[in-house]
Amino acid sequence: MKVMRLRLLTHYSSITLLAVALFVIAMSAQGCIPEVRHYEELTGRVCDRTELQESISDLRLCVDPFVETDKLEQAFGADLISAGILPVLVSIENRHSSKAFLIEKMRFAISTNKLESASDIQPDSYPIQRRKDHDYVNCEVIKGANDMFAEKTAMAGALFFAPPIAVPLLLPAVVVLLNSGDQRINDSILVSESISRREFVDRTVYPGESHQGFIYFPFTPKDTIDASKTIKATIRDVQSEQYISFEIKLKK
Amino acid sequence: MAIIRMRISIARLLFLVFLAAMTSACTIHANIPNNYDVTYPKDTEKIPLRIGLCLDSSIDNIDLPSTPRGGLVVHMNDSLTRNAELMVKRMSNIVIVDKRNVTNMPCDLKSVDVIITPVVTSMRLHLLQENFNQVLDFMISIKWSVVDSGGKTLYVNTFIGQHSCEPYRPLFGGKEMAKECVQRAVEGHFRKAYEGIMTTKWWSQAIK
Repeated sequence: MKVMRLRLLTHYSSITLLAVALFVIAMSAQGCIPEVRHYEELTGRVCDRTELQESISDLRLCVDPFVETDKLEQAFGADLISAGILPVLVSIENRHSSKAFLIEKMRFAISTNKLESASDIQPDSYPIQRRKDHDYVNCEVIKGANDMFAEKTAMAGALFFAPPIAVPLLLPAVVVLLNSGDQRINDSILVSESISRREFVDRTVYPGESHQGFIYFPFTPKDTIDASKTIKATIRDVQSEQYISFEIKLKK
Repeated sequence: MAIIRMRISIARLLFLVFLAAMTSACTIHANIPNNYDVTYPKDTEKIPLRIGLCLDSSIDNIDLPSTPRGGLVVHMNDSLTRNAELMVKRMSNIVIVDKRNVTNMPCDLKSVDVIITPVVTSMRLHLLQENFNQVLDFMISIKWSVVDSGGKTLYVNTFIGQHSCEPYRPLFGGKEMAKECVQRAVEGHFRKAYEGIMTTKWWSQAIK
């Protein structure tokens, strides 16, 4: 009788082991892979839909700050203002017949409480950053994923050493907890991806060309867009090496 | 009875250690080869200047883990530096390459008219889920700058190479698919960069 009970116990343990193994493998294989989401592509000329623009010597600069929650959700899938980022869609049109201009993101600044440069905050530094010379990773995401791995290991361990009778009760709770954590990571990846894919890149703009993209400025949720806020930009004439300065108020 | 219980506990412990080892050790390492050639447009006019190509270690031997879990690591080796060299050599008849083993150190390129410098601005490898398939998505963005011998910037542009591969199955040809995905994105980047740099005729400023 004792042998029979022992066999049953061993058999039951094997089932638990198998369940936990399957759980760990399933979680590690599928756990935090984000679902592809397609955000609205921002097409069309910025200068046609915004009043915030200035023209100097055949060069036109137009800006469109994204402050409304709906607009931000549609474009990036998240309210970036609450995360301390103000995305401004910037467009440059070169209508000069012969001159080329060098447009650099670091030469854009916003005056909030103090003058802050666009280079203070970039997708490269928030949340994606260059961790060390040969290692380009999304630190926030990796950190989140590592935390999740620790959580998963702890939960698998708890399941492993729990009495066999408690396993079916614990399993659903653990799955729910892990899924919510995975969702957090998925959102983080997708938002950072949509931020960096639309980032304004440095380039020379030749006669007849235009160039646009988002520049991200630091912006606390307490800040408001009013007439005192201005975007300042200096653009360099490639031939003469002289700078042209723009200053556009964000509210007219 | 106590011995049997202890054996079960030891078996459980060993199994847990085995599972932990399996989940952490199952990382696929994909080495990107450098022996593939990018097809560029033929019969393009050459740039009538002596070009110096400045390469530093920031674009050499990059190891990129996939997000979110890092189950895949791509080793770029010298695929970027070699392709940069091949691309610039197609642009001009006189090209001098200065390859540095350190970062942020200006190149010592004398007797050239212009210096071209590529800098990797962004690079990502994502594992995404679309319906029931896993999608491997690789993106590389490199900023190309051209300055003349006096330090005056003549041309700047950033080119993006991106490629998605699906269905990605880590255990069934995942390594080969990762290699192909990265190679296609890198090829796409160099084709765009070549066309972008060659079509703008920025060198007319340097000749004046």
